[in-house]
Amino acid sequence: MASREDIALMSHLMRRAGFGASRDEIEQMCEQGYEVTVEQLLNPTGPPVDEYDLYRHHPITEVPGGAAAPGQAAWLYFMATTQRPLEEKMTLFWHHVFATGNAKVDNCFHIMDQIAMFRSQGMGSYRDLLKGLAADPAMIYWLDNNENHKHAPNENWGRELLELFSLGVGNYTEKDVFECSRAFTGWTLDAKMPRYPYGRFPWKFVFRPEDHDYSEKTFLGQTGNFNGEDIIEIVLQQEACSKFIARHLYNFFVADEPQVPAWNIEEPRNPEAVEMMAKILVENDYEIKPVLRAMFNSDFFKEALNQKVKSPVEVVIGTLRGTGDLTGSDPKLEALGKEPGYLGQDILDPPSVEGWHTGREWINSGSLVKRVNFVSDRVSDTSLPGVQRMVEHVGNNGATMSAEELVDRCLDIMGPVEVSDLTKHELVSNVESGGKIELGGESFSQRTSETFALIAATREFQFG
Amino acid sequence: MLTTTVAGRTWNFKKAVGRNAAAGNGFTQPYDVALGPEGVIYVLSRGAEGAGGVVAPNKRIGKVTMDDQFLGDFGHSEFTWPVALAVDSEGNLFCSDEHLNIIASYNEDGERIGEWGEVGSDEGQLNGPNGIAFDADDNLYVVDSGNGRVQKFTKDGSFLATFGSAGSDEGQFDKPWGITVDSSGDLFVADWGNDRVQKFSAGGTHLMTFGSAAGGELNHPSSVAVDSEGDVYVADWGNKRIQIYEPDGNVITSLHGDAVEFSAWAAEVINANPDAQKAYRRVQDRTQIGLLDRPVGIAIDADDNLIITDSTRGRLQVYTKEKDYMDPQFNL
Amino acid sequence: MAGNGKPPVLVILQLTGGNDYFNTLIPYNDGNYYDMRPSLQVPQDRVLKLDDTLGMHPAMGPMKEIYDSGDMAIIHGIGYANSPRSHFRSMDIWHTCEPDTVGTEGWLGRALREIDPKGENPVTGVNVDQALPRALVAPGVSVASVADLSTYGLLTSIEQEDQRNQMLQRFANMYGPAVGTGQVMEYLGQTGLDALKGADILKVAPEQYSSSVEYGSSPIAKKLKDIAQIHTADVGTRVFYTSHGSFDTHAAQAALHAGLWTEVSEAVADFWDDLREHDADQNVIMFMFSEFGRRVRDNGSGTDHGAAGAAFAIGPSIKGGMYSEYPQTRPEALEQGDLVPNQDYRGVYSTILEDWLHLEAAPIVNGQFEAPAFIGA
Repeated sequence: MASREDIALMSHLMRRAGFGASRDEIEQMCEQGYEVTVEQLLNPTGPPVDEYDLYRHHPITEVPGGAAAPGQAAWLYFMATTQRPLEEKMTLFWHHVFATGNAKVDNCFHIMDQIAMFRSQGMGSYRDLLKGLAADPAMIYWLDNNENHKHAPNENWGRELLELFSLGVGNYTEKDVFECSRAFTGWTLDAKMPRYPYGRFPWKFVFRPEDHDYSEKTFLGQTGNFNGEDIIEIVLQQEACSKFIARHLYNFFVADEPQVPAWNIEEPRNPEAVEMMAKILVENDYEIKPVLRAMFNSDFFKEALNQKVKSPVEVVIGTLRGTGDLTGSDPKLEALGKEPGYLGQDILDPPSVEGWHTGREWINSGSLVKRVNFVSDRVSDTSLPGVQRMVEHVGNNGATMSAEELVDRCLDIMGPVEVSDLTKHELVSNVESGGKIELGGESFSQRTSETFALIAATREFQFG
Repeated sequence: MLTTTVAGRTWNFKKAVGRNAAAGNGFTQPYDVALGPEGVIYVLSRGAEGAGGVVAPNKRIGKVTMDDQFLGDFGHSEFTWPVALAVDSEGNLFCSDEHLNIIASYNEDGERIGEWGEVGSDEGQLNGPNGIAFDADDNLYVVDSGNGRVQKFTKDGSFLATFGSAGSDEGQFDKPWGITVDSSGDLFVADWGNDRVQKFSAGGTHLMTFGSAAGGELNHPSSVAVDSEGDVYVADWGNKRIQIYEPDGNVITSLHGDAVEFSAWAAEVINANPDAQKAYRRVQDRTQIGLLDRPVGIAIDADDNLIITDSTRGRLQVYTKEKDYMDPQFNL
Repeated sequence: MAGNGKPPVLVILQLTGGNDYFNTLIPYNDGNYYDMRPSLQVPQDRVLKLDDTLGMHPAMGPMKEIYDSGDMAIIHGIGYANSPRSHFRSMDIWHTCEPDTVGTEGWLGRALREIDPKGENPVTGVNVDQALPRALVAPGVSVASVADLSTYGLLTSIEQEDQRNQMLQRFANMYGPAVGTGQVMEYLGQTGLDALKGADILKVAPEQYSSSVEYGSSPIAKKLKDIAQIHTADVGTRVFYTSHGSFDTHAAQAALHAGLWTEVSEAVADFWDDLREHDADQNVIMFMFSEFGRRVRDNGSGTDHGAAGAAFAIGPSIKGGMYSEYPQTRPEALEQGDLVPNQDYRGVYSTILEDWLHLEAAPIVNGQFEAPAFIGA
């Protein structure tokens, strides 16, 4: 049997590097060891998500059009059913960093295509990702590079590439933005097929040499006839770049940082950790896997239990997986796809190119109601297979149980969640007011699942 | 290619019918097509749950004709996951729903006249009914997809027979989808998960297998149809094409879709839309407009017109088979 | 303060999907209308005539009665230049007042921040829908999204009422004293109490409410009834938001559009009857808009995305009548086949903000725009 600390640590790893895991899985991982589990996450051998089954049952999700909802449903299906959790979590990570939104792109199919690139290359080379993005139809349209012409440069992509995708404010000049933009002139889209009357057809990236500015550029101190790829190479040589990506990784996987625009003002919460990760990035030529390995195996990661407010996606997917409420194609999938949005994170439709504000900004009194209810609706539903297993876990020990024991076991299976004395007192009082606990049977299931629901409503449960 | 010719056979692209539309004269993810009396073509729109809930109005059965008449639609908000259609000898229409586990029936006026189906895995119970097809005696074969078998019922739902089980051996199925009965009463089942079509006698004896995943010959086929000469048409869903086989199982050719010209209903949209007209003029290579994108259902009418539901594109593509065609022996 | 001495209240009804302006306010003497609408024209004798040139769609009877009573302003040709003809982008532009860049703050979110800067009342803004529209989003502004007032609250899955009430009390206790637990925990504590308070406030609304008005069974009737219940409970809500649709009638428009307007017109009329019955109408205006109008020429059974549209403002404080002008319908006056907007939507927002909510409009709508004076009867 794994120790309580081992289980807490492994659960922490699986919440951060995935979307949680069942207690049986956690026990098994504890048996094989922490580092072995990290390697399995980094080198997944599970089968990819069964896309064909999704498209057969939900054809609309394969080519979502102007509406984001079918694409959101498709991605939710991937996240809820994947057997390669870190791969999918990294996909979400890059969507946070390279936030691209359907409110403008209006062709969700292409944002899904970008997401598929994050899925296949998310643990590979950051260099390849940047180059892929520069030629990604959704990104080109999102940041107006199709309006970036030789004689009329549009700086939107050039600016965001430096400000939000690689260096951060303060590490380049306005002149650099202009020169960078010039280098990407002519990186555009081929004429688009209209959406009417047969639905969307794929967009195509094209390079138009006649619209490209071939003249000399001076960018971040270097001068030459740079094109877009050269610009990306120069960006990667900047020390700021590795630090910027390292801080993003820290904020997403380890502990909540201030919002991105404050990063050139406020020091990282743990400068040594960011420094260490940045160094590994550079040493490995911006391969992502080595820095993930170092991060997950680091003390600062292992000590960061419950240092993050769970994002809406983490709440929704963690709950769906934990309770077994969505295990494959299902008519309710399209409605579920909207839930992260109701909780405050409209995937595939971030509020802006800056992505989402994280940490405490996930929570306001409107979103908290939705968040608590989403979880409590499910953990109190004893018809769900995952909830039945959780109830069994709580009740599988001995013939009697005090209210405190019941609460402890519920907190354990739901996280483990560490709660304050005050919270604990209220949880225990709630159980006590129901009278003596009879193990097994329907009333036990009901009281246990009610306790789950009340735990889902605690402040502590909002962290993970 | 508007005309696809191989020795002795030619398929001419005839036309497209329909457009993508959630209501009225269009289709939403058309999954099957069936032929009613007097030239009526029934088209089943699978639809989506997002637009109006699990039982959404865009899930419906449209009544159209080969010459682009829209005769109305029915079945709105009656289905969750409708899959397939079949017409009995009296002209009544049957429709399967793989989530509700029912077979619903309608008269020619589109009025619901019956519904049967019980969920489960015992004989006569259903777990995800997919393709349906009548034999000459008005018995209904139902692809019981979740149970990996084919069951035979009277059209009122009395159980008659079952064959097959889940698996990948001969005579077994992995999430099978479409089914057809040929003129001699043999059955063809699109064995979706096993990338093949299997042929059975009426009693369920395995006779032969068409295709496999090898070399990409078939990728998750969704349905199958047989013409008056015994040629076999497989909707090669994963490869987005129709594979045509000789009766002995050799591949003859493939159809990839040719609906480059707008259907009549599609043209109405373009004609009213100056933006779309300009945008289409800017597109240099228009071939992709015409390509099949997830073909699902196939029907063959008495004139050997091959009617294919082109589901992502919300339309039907129609080909006509020209028989006994010989390539002229001269240079054109 | 509005007429009855109470603070002014704004109700937004969004007609989602792009309402067909040309068949909502029909230029029934205009030959272009009949030429461009071969399949979707409303016969002249069925148009509900407002004046010598314009009439409402026949399904809008109750709307016409409001117009005739003098409580409705019709704002013609509303929109903005270079309409993208995309639902999502257009809606975003309407919500954020940012036609050129992707905006992050909603105009009503900003207005709410001005109205209740410290966020003292958790129901100052109420969205009667599942998803929060971007119009209501702004940092530090919290809005309650109420999909169904009768079941709104925390821990709604607990069916036994006394058990649930007990758990809500536990919730309040758990979120209560948070001092010294860290900044984020303290924030969460306050937020939880606000959420509970909001739910408690909204819970009283259905309990107190009674009315002789019988609303229809459409979703919009239910939503407007929820708004009437909250408003008449006098809980301090200043901005309500709801929507109805989909007006995206690419096909089968004749039946769909008539059905939608039947539902909307009846629900709106019932809503105002209800407020009047409670003597709660004087401090309310309602604003109805859609993200764009539709293509002038029909496509055989429907219409595609267009540009200029119409907006409606309703209430006893509205100066009834027509504002701005109906756009030119001559084929050569159209842009890409669409009616050309001649009234910037931000000007109309400015009227609402300045003349009704008494807020400075320019920082909220990002500039100065011509503002038609339709408020102040």
